[in-house]
Amino acid sequence: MIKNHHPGEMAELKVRSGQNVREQELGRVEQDLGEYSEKGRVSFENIGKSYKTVRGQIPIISGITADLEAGTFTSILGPSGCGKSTLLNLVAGLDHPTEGVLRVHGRPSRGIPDSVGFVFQEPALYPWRTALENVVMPLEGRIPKAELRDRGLQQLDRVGLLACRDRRPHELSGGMKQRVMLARVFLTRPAVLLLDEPFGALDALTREAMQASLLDLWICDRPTVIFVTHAVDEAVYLSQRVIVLSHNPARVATDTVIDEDYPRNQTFRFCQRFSDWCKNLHSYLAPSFERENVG
Amino acid sequence: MRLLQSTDSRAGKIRSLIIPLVLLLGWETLSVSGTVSSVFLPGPVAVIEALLNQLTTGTLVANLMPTMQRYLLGFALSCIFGIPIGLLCGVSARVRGYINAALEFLRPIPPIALIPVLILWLGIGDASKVAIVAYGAFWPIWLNTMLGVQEIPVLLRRSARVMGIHGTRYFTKVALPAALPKILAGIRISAALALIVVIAAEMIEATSGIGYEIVNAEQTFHSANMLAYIVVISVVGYIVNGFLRLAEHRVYAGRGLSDTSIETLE
Ligand SMILES: Nc1ncnc2c1ncn2[C@@H]1O[C@H](COP(=O)(O)OP(=O)(O)O)[C@@H](O)[C@H]1O
Ligand SMILES: [Mg+2]
Repeated sequence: MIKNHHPGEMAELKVRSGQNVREQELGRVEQDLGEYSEKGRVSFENIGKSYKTVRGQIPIISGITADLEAGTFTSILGPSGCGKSTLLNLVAGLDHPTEGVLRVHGRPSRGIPDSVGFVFQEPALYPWRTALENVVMPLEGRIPKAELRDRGLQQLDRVGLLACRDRRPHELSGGMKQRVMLARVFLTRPAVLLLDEPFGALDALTREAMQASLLDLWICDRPTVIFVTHAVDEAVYLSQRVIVLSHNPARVATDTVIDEDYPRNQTFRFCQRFSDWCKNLHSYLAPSFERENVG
Repeated sequence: MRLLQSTDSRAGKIRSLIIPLVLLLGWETLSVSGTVSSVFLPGPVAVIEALLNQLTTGTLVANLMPTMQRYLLGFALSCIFGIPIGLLCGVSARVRGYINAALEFLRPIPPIALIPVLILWLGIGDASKVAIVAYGAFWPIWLNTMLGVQEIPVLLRRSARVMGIHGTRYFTKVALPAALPKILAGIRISAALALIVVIAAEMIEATSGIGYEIVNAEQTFHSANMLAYIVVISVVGYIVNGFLRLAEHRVYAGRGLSDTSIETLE
């Protein structure tokens, strides 16, 4: 069983691992996390998921095997409708695989695992709460009020929405809502961070700013990130590893380590190697699109 | 105060007064001209006179107080039971399984039919009246609370689960606030129902209260008094409804929903 740590205690653990950034960059560091000897590790072992429909059992995901080590940044790339969101739901414990073994923090997952943050594809904000109140929701009643507020404001600042702290969701644009969601998930400093097309609703400039924020956070807290996107360039820029999924059912089309300096330099976007990587990954995507068009 | 009127403009307000004024005028002429005997239909002026008379002699307050007490106490009880039970039923399919069948058997029983039963059990005093009001007002609150919770978007429920919000925290932080607009709509329906039930209960068996006085006035041919008490009921209902609409309006505006959604909930 995954033990329920007191949140304060957990934050402390994370702060400690944050101080180890230098060491971690040099190699994997033995983290003294007691119960969580493999905290942050996510592994898929021959994972399959099918849904029962009127047309019978429909496989959505089939035979996915991948081991995501703690503190790594992986993108899942695939055409829309291939099963990316479904895969994240499995990791978050919101749904269960019909085949295979899924391990979160090194343990076969049942129920909602501890220390997992999830930014859904659509903004899940509570309409009666202000932006700040939405951000602090996960830790409300668990840490002192003043500290809660400070931490909430800090995260809102991180996503550039400090000025909007008292606005309610209906007074925010789609992109702003998505950024409030990011602030909320950053607040808890989870060991596993699931992001489902989090920058889909953003304009190019805000998107780049948010990508930088996300990388900052990753450098500081070292969560295991699973970043779902359908944008090839975003995947190449942000992640150490890209898993491309095929369609109908989703299988691993390629599992590629983007062997470049990490975290990326802004100039990486504009160099030849970047577009080579994109072209390479795109070739795994293209057939799925065609198949989809053919029907 | 805009919400107390469904029309915004000044012209609209004036327009909404035309029909009531015409009716009052017609009523007064019928009565004053003697076309209808004033024993059956005293005119508005006579009714207002009776009302003022009741007010100055203190009879009105003496009868309004017990009615309001029964009304508000019964109504409060219906909220105290209806909201938590509704929340539980909404959140848990298992609780629904246990409770709903039993409740659905009780629901078709009209409160009025239970009045003799409750008088038999609880006596002719206030307890039986409060109980009957609570019973009658319980249903819309319970039902609306349950539906309000069941209508919480899957995304918000999942998000709460991922944030580790469950148990009591789920009730206070998600279920109750999310269902609030629906609950308020239920409360408003219940408020109207509770008023009907309290008056009916008093008309059947009581020694004081507006309902009792209406029957009393009818039996002693004090038609103006009878109509005056009916006007009082209307005013009480109007004021309570106004307050509740104001509360609903606040909640709706806070979430960026428009007043028209209130109309459709009626
Ligand atoms: N509850 C469900 N029942 C049946 N089919 C589902 C269910 N949820 C998702 N699907 C199907 O699974 C496929 C993958 O969905 P999803 O994971 O949302 O795709 P993506 O996130 O890659 O766009 C879709 O074809 C969708 O219709
Ligand atoms: Mg999706």
